[in-house]
Amino acid sequence: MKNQNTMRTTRPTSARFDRRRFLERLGLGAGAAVLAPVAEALVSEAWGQTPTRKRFVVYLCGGGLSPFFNFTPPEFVNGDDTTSPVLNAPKAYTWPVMLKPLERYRNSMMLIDGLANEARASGIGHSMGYASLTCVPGQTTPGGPSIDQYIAGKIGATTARKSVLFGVSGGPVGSQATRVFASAAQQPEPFFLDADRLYDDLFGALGSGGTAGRQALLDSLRFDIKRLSGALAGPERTKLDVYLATIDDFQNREKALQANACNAGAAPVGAAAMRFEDRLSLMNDMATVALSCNMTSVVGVSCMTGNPHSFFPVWKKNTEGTQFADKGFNGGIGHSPGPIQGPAMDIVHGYNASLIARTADALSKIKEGNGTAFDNTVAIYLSDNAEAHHANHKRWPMVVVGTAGGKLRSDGRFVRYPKKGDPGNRSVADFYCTLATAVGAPTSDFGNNGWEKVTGPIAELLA
Amino acid sequence: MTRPSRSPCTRLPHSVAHTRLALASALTAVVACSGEIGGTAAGGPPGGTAAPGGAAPGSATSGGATPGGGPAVPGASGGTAGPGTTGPVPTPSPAACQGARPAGPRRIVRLTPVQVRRTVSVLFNGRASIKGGLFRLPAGVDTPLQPTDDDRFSTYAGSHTLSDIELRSGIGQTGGIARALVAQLRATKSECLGATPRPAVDVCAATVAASKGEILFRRPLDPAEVDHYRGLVAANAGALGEDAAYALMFQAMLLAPQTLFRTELGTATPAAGQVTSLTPFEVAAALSYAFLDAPPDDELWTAAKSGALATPAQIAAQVARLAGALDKNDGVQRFLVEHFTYDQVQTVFKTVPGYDPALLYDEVKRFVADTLATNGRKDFLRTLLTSRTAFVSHTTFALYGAADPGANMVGRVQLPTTDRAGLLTQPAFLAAYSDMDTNEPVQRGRFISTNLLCRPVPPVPIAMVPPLPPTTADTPMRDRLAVHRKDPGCAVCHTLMDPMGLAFEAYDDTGKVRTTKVDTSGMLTGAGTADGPFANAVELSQRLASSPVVEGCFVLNSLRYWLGRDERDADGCAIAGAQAAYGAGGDYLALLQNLFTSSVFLDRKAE
Repeated sequence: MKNQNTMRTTRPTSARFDRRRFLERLGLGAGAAVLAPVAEALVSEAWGQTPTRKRFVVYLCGGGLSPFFNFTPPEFVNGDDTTSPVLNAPKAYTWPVMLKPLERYRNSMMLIDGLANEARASGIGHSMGYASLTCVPGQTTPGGPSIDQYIAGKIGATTARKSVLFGVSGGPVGSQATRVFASAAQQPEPFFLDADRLYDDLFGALGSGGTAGRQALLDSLRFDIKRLSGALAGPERTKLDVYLATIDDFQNREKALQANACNAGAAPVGAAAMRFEDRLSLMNDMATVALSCNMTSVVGVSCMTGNPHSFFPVWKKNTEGTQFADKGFNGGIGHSPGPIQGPAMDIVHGYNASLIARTADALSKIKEGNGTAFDNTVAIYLSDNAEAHHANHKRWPMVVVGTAGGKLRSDGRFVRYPKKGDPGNRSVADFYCTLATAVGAPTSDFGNNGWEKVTGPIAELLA
Repeated sequence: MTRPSRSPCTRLPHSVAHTRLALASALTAVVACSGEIGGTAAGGPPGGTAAPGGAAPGSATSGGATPGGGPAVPGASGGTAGPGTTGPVPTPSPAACQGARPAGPRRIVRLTPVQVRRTVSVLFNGRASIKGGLFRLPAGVDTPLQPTDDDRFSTYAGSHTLSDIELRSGIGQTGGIARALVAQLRATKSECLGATPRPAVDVCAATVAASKGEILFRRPLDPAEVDHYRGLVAANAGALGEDAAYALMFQAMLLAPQTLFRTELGTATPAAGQVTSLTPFEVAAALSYAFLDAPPDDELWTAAKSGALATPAQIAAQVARLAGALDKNDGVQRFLVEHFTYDQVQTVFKTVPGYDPALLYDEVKRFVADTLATNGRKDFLRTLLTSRTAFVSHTTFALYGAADPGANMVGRVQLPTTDRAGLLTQPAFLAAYSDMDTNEPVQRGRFISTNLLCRPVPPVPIAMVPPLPPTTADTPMRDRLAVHRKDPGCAVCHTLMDPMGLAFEAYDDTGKVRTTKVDTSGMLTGAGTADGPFANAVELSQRLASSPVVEGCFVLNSLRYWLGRDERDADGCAIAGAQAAYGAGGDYLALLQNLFTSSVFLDRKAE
């Protein structure tokens, strides 16, 4: 990793980073004008020095991603069944309304349906919670690592942040959103609901005393932990071992951060009072900056996951000028008939698609290797409810954006697998194996504990 | 406590997703309800005489009440058993428990975010501030810990440690706290840092470390600790400046494991198998965090320091003092919310005009507090399950079938004897176990089986479940659930739930009494001497209230909550003792005093 301080002393003045230009390049709007990051990637761009690393983004939204009303191109909608054999459609199809913001990337995308993941611990219902990303039973307590954390554990070892995780719920800041990220079984991975906290975590000053004080602080903690640890055994001791490992990991990542600075300007103002969509957008921008400057390689977004009956009023901003404006766009969308549910969820998913497009735009403007940072990125979009608000979890529509450095066959195709039980059906776990393999963390048995058939990466999705 | 998860063989279309489900229960589902478990015959007598041993959700070991009606005892793991079976260990006889002194596990318990916040508040405001219950932090200061709500009870120590996010934000947050504390001490002439002339850094650092450290660590610091923190200030004062060095010391103390983890280790480090007793300071901290979510107040601290927290009588007196008025104690209230799960009403979405789950939740909390106030020390559980008292408002009175108390008023009313009996018939509870527009009889039955009878019912099996017939206005739920009885694979579990859940079909999903006549009769099983037929929910509640199994289950869950862990085999005598203490008069304070003077709380065994 390049030492930025060294580069600063040698680079020509003309290459000095320009805050306004950077914001323009990222395409960040007024809501994110609080950010003025000095991205290592941009410095690299100025110097033609371009580290390449894969990036992985997983973006979940509650409410279901319906193959009947939203996800499927109209010419391929075929009711409550998936086709057999595999439909591997050419690129010439009607682009789904909900994905309009991403249409300019359609030649670097895949739409996949028919993936099975029924690893729920209880009956038919709503969100799969953790199991959406772990593929093993445990909706409210993780039964294994989520795919983002699995990948982060493999490719995020040297980044300043193993991953950047955030989310929003319909309530006030701090109210619970469904947790979906986990580092291991029984180990939920915290994520940020508060934009101020996320900013502090990514760009804020930590503690007092600067680097010298930091070293003394961590040494003191180690001293105390080791003393107490000596009085313990077994699992109780493990708690402190984990604390100790967390400190070591923190220190290593601090070194990475110092070597690869990702500075920021002023902290956001009034984020807590922001509307839901603005808060989501602001945090997404922060995560985009973190990706841009290689502060992290993995981003996870949990947007209104869970059982969001009440989440729709918060989307009011996006309903202006729509058929829902006068009706207040109030709850129960998942309980509404298709003519209402379809366009309503198009608004929800469309907004999320616009944020993913925003990230893709930013990464596309950063040169990396022979292409751009976007070329080395893959983002997936799904709902933790799978195919519907009231879901059976037999088919999980997945939107794939990016090729992960040409490893994925994201060329605009639409793929639909036979339904579960039929020959040719594939599992979500297989798909996650595919993603992990594409970003440099190859595996054949992610989420493999007997609930779904897991055979490894899906060959036809890999380039 | 965990709301029972969705049951097997049910395909009601809507449910509340906010269940907290332990992995253990999920894995249990793999074999449950298939009729192939442990030789339990599908459709056999629920509970009954089957050999107990099924693991409770989230439980490392199984446990529960003895189906025969004896006091609750913990179960041993290892056996195979079918759904609905509970602990296999026979009730210890009084003779067997005579002189027995089983010990609890040595462990450390991470504080909750609220507890950390209050501890920091006491750091600024002193122990005297605890009495007023006003915990204030300087502006802009907060604590970084994330809530841990994935266990059976919020008090569970579990495996909670510190994540990287918590450490990172903790470093930032404690930096602010530390600087604010230094500023406060500098401005206080009676403090070493504020004194004129100022003592040498070495002297002052040791003094401040000892005085503030004993608040954070809930015990006097040992000499090595004082020396460590003194050295931290001395070593960094030159490079960082004196104030920054003190701030660094406070930051280190705030993030130290001695602050973030409460210890239950005992007076010495025993060899494997040996037993030690908690130190007086560990006892004091356990009590104060249990009842106040705060470090020990002046009285408790003085008692610990002076050796006046040693005998059962002394500890029992402190329990009584800290618990205070039971209806106003946060810990007691929280236990009842988590055990009876009526807070779930807030998560159920309905489209009924004027329906306000927040009001229903407030009203049921008032009901529970009122019951604690009137009967907390006499027939508490029985009253909770049979009382006709309710609190109604102008918005909700119609749901209860009560008179309108008037705008902006909350009325304490007595509901008709024929319609209501206790918590299970309160609209908040009924709505908590309903869906957007339908009752959830299976979930209601599951709650009673799991939470009141300690008779766990495993979650849904992997295999495809038969769908229920569609909902129609003229199809009674009893008829729709008939599919469960026809399929042996379903019946093995649903016979444990459906009959009890259907007793509540006289109410709609908002808790209002239906105008149409519905068959609500059934047979209560697994409740020991209270087993028998019931005509409706009122009779069912009365039977449950008189059941020794329900009482034993309540005691067992009290032990789980207050000790912050699942029961272990060695807890049998402690549970029997607690039930004896409670059962004599239904005195919940007596139960608490018994638990906190029991050897499983006071003693620790090295493993």
